[in-house]
Order: sequence, then structure tokens, then C-alpha cells
Amino acid sequence: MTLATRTNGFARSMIRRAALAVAAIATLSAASVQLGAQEARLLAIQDDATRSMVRDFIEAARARGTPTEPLVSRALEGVAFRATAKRIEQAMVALEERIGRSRELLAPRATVDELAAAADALANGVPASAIRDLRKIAPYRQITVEIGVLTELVAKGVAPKKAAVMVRDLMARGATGTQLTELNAAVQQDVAFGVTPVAALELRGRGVMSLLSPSASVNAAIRP
Amino acid sequence: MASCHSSPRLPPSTLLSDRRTSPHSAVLRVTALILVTAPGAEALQVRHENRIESGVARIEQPGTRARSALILGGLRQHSEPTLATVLAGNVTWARDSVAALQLIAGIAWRPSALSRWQLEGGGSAAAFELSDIGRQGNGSGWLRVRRRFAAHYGLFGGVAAGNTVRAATSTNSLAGDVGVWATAGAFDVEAEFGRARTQDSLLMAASRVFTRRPTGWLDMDDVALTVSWSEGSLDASVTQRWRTSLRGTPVEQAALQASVTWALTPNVAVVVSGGRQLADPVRGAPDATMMLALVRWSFSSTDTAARMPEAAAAVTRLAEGSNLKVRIRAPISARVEVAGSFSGWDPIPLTREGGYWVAEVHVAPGRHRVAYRIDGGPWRAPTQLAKLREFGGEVGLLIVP
Repeated sequence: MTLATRTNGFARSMIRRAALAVAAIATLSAASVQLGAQEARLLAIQDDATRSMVRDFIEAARARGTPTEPLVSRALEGVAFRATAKRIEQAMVALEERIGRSRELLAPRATVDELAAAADALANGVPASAIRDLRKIAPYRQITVEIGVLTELVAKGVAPKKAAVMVRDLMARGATGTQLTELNAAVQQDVAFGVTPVAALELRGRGVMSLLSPSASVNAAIRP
Repeated sequence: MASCHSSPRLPPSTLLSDRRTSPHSAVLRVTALILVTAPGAEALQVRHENRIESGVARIEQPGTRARSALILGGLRQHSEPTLATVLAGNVTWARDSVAALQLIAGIAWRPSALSRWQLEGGGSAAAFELSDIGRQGNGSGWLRVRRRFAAHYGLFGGVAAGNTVRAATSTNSLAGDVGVWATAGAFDVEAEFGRARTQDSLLMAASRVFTRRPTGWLDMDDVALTVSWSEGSLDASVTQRWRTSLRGTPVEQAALQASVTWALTPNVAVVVSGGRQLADPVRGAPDATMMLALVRWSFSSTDTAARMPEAAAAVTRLAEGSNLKVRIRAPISARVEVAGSFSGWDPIPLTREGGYWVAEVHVAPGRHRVAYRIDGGPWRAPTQLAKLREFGGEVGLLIVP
């Protein structure tokens, strides 16, 4: 091994370490900024007891490895709704449980947005198996919109299994988030006009389906 | 139509008394003022409203001296997104101690909240004198269909029939109308063509309208144009009506009415109205020129957030994220706010735009929870969004691709 080779190897090693250090500092800085922002938002809670309860809960959740942003948002929602501290705490406990369950369903990886969307889905009657199926179809990209559309359909009165099958089939054939959102809006409009939710989903789902390639492979299309 | 029973903005109009000051001149006196808005398109946007109105009026009929009157009226209105009902009553005392009583009930129905069709119907009963209830008065009913073609314009058509009894004589009246309405910014415009026929020659003679036909039926055509304006705490409207001859009933009349409502507080408003109304044979209301001043108390402030179910949230897609536009129909005096996960649940006040309260905020792609409230009341989900229940209220789920 020549001196020049050794010098190049040392330089590469130093560059790698420096890059890791910069990345670590950036991550810590971002986390620090997020913490600061969360703390500032918690200061908006005027009731001391509620603010203290929420702060303690958030710190404990962070220590448990739970993403805290959805919890902060739910706490602020409770404050806006003038809920009692006890009621807000119950909501946060339930949400953390659902986030934990969502993490299992969306394994191996999930973003905070996906976890929050899946937690909402579970709370509104979307079957756990449906969330797991969506992740299987698209393991390499965010499926927040897909989970959200499924939740909206169920919340509007479409039978959970029916909605799950339709969203899953559309995803499997390459439907984009925008197409699913438009499908959801069309179904909601039909329901408002008096069409039954199931009939509206059938009709609109077929319309979107006709625009998609029958052999589209989602995994191939979305693999990074 | 001579009657405007189901118009969404009924101007205060009159009932008549059978006090003939002379058997030859057949002058009829106004004794009751109707303070009721029939359930039209507006009614479906108000869930609960209890209202009391009180004031004074100065009334003059053709061939008579001007008279003063005291008015007391009440209204209870209840609406769901597809059904609205209204029940109202009023009593009027004139300076010559004549009093009258009127009751009105109405209903409006849509097949669904976003339906373009609306069916309205109702009826009214009136006694021309409190001391003579059941022997002199008027009963009428109406049916109307509305069709909205877009958010800003639509058509309507309807029929009405009434029976009036005075001096032991019963007379019938019929009317039908078609019209178009449109909204542009702060302005609403409504144009209407109506045709009416009546046996009530006494009422029409008091309005200087006679017939040459041996059957005794009087026929006439009406054209009316109403322009309304709403901005801030002020509402104003002007109606011009023209009446022309039909089938041997020579008549050329025109009447202008104007009304201004000023909301002093969320619960108190002042109404000033003036002008001429043409005789309405379906309701037995005579030709009269009047000036009216009322104070209106609304007792719906504790539930004002529930008053306006027509709260729409529309999303406009941008290159990055989207703009969420929330549009809510609420009283001009209301304080309307929207909040959501995108604002950290910090309420964002809406601003008045045309007849609506509007806010436009940028939202990032993803999932958001959004709600609105009126006058600090309970939070509600905008109509089109899926509703999620939490903390005893509701939020709308918004998905931005």
C-alpha cells in the first residue's frame, strides 16, 4: 500500500466522519428546534394544570419512543374544544396506544404522518388488516393520503371492508394520491345527493379503475 | 304572483280589516303587519332561531288618512340540512283600537343537503279583528319548487291559493309565479313573473282596480325585481313591482319598497322599511303605503354555532401543498373562526366576502383536522368533510394529496 493510497483512505475516512458529525448536529438541531416549537405551542395552553399534564405526558411519550407531534396536536385540539384536563389525557393515552398499534401495522418503517393517519383510521373503524394491506402494496413510499381517504370513506358511511378493498385494488393498479382524493370527493358529493355510500363508491371506483392500467405494478413503480 | 308567500326575503306586508268606512268607496283598513319570513332558501341555513320583533308603523291606504299601529311578532325557526320549519305569529294594534292576529306555518325540504332541488310549502290563517275571530279573516296556502343550477343562480316556480271571508262573503284567489335568482358578490337579484286571479272585488276596489267582466273574477299580471345587498352589519333590499291588465281588468300600477336591517349586536337589530305594497288577494292584503320601524331580538346566541350548516370547505391544489378555502354562511353580525391541526388549533378569524364568511389558508400535503365555530360556540366540521367526533364536538378530516 503506497503512502498516497493511505493518505486517500485517511482523507475519505475523515470526510465520512465529518459528514456523520454534520448530519448528527443537523438532526439534533432539528430535534431541538422541534422541541422548542412544541414547547412554544404548549405555552398557549392557559390552564396551568392542563399545560403541566400535557407537558409531562409528552415527555414521557418521547421517552417511550412515541412521536410526539400528533399528541401535541391532539392536546391543543382538546384545549380548543374546552375539554377538561382529564378528558385530554384520556384522548392522548388512546392516541398513543393507536400510534403504537399503527407502528406495528405499518412496519418496517412509517413516517409520523402515516402513524397519525393510521391512528385516526383505527379510531374510526378502519380494520387493522386493511392498513397492513396498504403497507404491503406500497412498502417504499408514504401512504398517508391513501389511509386518509380510506378513513374518510368509512367516516362517510361506506362499509369498512368495502372501502378497504376498493382503496387496496386502486392502489394495486397504480392510482395516485390525487386520484384517490378525487374519488373520495366524488363519493362524498354523491352521498350528499342521496346516493348510498356503497353505490357511490362502486360507481366512482369503477370510473377511476377504468383509467388505470390493469397490470400496473405498484411496487415496481414506487421502489426508490 | 300577487302573493310572495315563499320568497326568501319577504318584505313586511299587511293583512286587512273589513272596516268599510263607506259602502260605496269600499275602503279597507290595514290592521296587521306580517313580520314573518317564510322558509325559503335562507331557512335551510338556520338551525334554530327564536325571534321577537316589536315596533311602530305609519300606514296609508288609497282614499284614507294615514294611521299609526303598534306591532308585536314572534318567530321560531328550526332547520336541519334537509328540512326547515317555521312557526310565527303576530298581533297588531292600530290607533283606532282595531287589532288583528295572524299565524303562519311553513316547511322547506330538500332530498339531500347538497341537492339542487328544494320544495317549500305552508299556510297562514288570519283574523282581521281579535273581537271577531272566526268570522272575518283569511286562510291561504302555497307550494313552491326551487332549482339551483350553480352556486350563483337558479329558478323557482310556485302556486298559491287563498280564501277571504268578510261581511259574510267568501271569496277565493289563485296565483302562480316563475322567477330566477342570481348572486354576485354582496348582491342578490331576484326577478319574478306572476299571474293572479281573484273574486275579492272589495279588496281590489279599495286598490282602485275594477273589472268589466260579468263573472266577477279579476285577473292581473305582476312583474317584480328585487335587489338585495349585504355587507358588514347591514342588509338592504329594494323591490320594484309592476302590475298590468289582463282579461278585462284594466290596471297599471307600480310600487317600490325598500328595507334596511342594521345589526347593532349579535342579538339585536333595527329594521326600517318603507314604500308601497300592491294588494295581495291571496292573503287578503290591501294596497298600502307604509313606513315601519322595528327592533328585533334574537334569542339564538347560545346555539349560534349550530345555525348555519352550510359551511363549505374547498381545497385548491397548488404546486406545493394546497390552499384550503373555508366558506361559511352566517349572520353578518357573527364572529366566525376556523382552526385546525394546520394552525396548531389557533383560531383564524374569517372575513366577510359577499354573503359569506371566508378564510383561505395554506395547508401542506397530508392529513389535517379542521373545524369552524360561530360566536365562540361548539366546533363543527365543514359540510363536505368526513366528520370525526372528539371532545364532545366534531372535526372534519381533510386529505391534501
